[in-house]
Amino acid sequence: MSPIQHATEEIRDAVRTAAESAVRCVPVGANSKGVLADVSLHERIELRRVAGVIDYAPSEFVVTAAAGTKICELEQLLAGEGQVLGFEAPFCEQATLGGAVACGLAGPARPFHGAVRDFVLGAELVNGRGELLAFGGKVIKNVAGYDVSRLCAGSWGTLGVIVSLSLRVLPRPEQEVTLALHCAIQEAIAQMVEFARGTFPVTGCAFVDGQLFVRLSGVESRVIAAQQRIGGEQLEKAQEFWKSLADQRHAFFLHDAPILRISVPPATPHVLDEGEWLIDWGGALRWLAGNRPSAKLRSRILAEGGVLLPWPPSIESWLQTGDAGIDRLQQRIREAFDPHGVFARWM
Amino acid sequence: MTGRDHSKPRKNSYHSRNLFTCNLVLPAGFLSRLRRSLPPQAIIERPQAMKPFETDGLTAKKELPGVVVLPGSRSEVAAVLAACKAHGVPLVARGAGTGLSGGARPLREGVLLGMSRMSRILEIDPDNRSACVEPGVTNLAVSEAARRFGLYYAPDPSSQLACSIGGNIAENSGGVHCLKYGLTVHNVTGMTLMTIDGDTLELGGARLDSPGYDLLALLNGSEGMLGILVQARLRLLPIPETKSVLLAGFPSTGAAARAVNGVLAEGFVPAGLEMMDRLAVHAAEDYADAGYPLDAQAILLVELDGAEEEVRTLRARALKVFEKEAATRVDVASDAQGMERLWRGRKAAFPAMGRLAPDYYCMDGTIPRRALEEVLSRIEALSREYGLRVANVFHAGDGNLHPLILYDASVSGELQKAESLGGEILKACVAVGGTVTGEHGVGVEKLDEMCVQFSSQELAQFHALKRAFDPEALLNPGKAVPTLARCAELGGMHVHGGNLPHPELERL
Repeated sequence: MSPIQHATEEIRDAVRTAAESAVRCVPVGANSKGVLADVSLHERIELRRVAGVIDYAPSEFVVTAAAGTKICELEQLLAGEGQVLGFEAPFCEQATLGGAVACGLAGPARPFHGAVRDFVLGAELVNGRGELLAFGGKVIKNVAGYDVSRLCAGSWGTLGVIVSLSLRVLPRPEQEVTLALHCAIQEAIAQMVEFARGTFPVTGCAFVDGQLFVRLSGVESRVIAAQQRIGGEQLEKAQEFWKSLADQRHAFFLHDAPILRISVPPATPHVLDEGEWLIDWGGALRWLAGNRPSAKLRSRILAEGGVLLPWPPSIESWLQTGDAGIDRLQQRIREAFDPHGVFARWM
Repeated sequence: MTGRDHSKPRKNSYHSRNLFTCNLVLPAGFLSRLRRSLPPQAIIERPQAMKPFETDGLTAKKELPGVVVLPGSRSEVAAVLAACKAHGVPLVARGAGTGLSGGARPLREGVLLGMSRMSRILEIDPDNRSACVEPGVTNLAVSEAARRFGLYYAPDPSSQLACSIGGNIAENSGGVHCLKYGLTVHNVTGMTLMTIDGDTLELGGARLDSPGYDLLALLNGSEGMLGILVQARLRLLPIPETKSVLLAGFPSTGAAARAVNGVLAEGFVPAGLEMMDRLAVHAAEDYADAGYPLDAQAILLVELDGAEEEVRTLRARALKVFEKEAATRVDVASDAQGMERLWRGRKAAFPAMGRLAPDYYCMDGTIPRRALEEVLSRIEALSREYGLRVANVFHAGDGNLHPLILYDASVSGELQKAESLGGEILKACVAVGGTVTGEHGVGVEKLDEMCVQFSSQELAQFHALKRAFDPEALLNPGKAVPTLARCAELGGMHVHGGNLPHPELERL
């Protein structure tokens, strides 16, 4: 039995014991996102004990790794083959693969490369009965059975313990530049919409501090051609800039004031001028710092088809939708995986 | 045919028949309730008129439904769901009926809910690159409506002229271009779902994230077993500036397989990457006159798209890979006519099989690309062993194989031989880490193969998940996930015929 299999068996034992003795468990990666502050009464199931790459064939653009593998180690391995993870996981120095997928938080490339779940091809899960189950696989096209592996992404550890994952990876772009253009916020949104409707190889598009930042990635000839058409100044230390957005470590986030995370259709106009704004995801993610949101802002967001998610995230607030029908259904889904409530975090 | 899973009596079932209606399989009062709550044109009861609904693209599986209902609105869908729930009548949703795995096969004691009348495009929002549609709209109609804004809907299953968005979502349909642009699941951002409990759930939207579990991911590919889709929000993409199609012939399938990996190793993702073996090339060329090289053991078709300068760069790199693998012939087309010619043969591959044999059986396994040579030689060995020819046509970029097993159903025993051979091929796919269905779905066709791919605990988990949505198993019962009893008893393989319905549609 390999160390990963051995650790997996230990996790199954722990879950079975918990199920029998009505103890609640919480799967813990590195807690790099700090969402597990209030779990002192829970049995911790440490993902770090199931760590290591299980299978990596660069020509397949697929990597399979145990859930406790650190994202940064995985990225290093991929970099050696000219490949990258597509979803720019936050806090990647500490974060584990399992934690990153369970939280489902994606970085600035989200609208261009896809959500975390879009890269998930397969998952092994220890459900609340302590059963080790494999869903999906290592291939891109797979419609056998319900898509449980993608459901695990963003489930915040409430369906079971993810013990391994197969992910689609991307070729590292051969050329990447970030351009900075000075403009007002309304102009920035209009520009973002135009980029989205055009064919420039945009993989990041954000606005902060009166500047629009556009990241172009891809084949050299195309990046250069787009760069010439867009203009602006080339940003140095571009990688750090985008990472500071993915990790919410940009100066904008260091306010003492509350931070709101607002998800809207990308072309939603900017009309309310309360507080300070940072726009990411080509317009689809808007951060507001400084004020508590006014009732007017809340209703405006709803009217635009947007949603306000508390930041920093808490598992309860990110999983409960406020829609009675959806919440009832989610509760039943959770119970289908975890009938004894081993991983229950909200009721 | 193994139909036992779908025909168990349910509560309020047809044991208590209403003698005053001609319908002997639906419970008393059910039809009259439908008639009260729906307009007459929405209900089809005459067996002759129900005939077109007795099967989907898997023609060997036929059954007349108890009744066909064609709702025209959400409230009509709600009325049908409420009636089904009240009377314990099962319900099968159907899009355009082009599915290849029998997912929309009706139940004799149930309702066939055809979504074709709910086919409006409600909104094209060019600035958010988003389309809001009803489920019965055809796939191609969405792209046509978006075209004047320079946008299109990327997933393009080969039946896109006829297949519906609702059906695409039920099957998580792929297509030739999903290597670069993703499957249906990657291109649906919102759904309005009606549950059997009578809830209308708004999931997602034109925004990119929402609180709660990712039910959108779960619902794509759920084969109509979890809820009824009444509206969908789709992601649109800008139409690429330019395209180019390359054809290369290779002296061996191994060389072609290596060229596939070589092209992908160049660090870009082609819009399409297709492979055909010698038998398929000959059949297609004979049928479609596409100018394919008849001396090649395998050909590749590579479609590149993007900006002008990008396509030029990529083309040069692909050609270098072809050269390295000793391609015997290379054609390049960048004009519409030339590209159409190169694609013509590939698109004719399925119908062309009709010239080689009276029947064929199309498989849909997916494998990791590195196992391509291994699985192809396994298929060849199996083909010799069974004495049946197998033509290989597949989406090589994503490892999705469509081996076409040629047989003659009029020869006693050949159909069974074809089925066993197909089952062996799918087992070989699972053995190398692949899957029994890449894009056609399980439906009723691959229930037995599901027993090979999943453990009983995994299947039990699927059933538990289904019960969370549909505790009484009224939505498309018996499809997609086999019962544990069936897997335990598993003996013979499924039945399959060779004749395609919708012969006018392309099969890729």
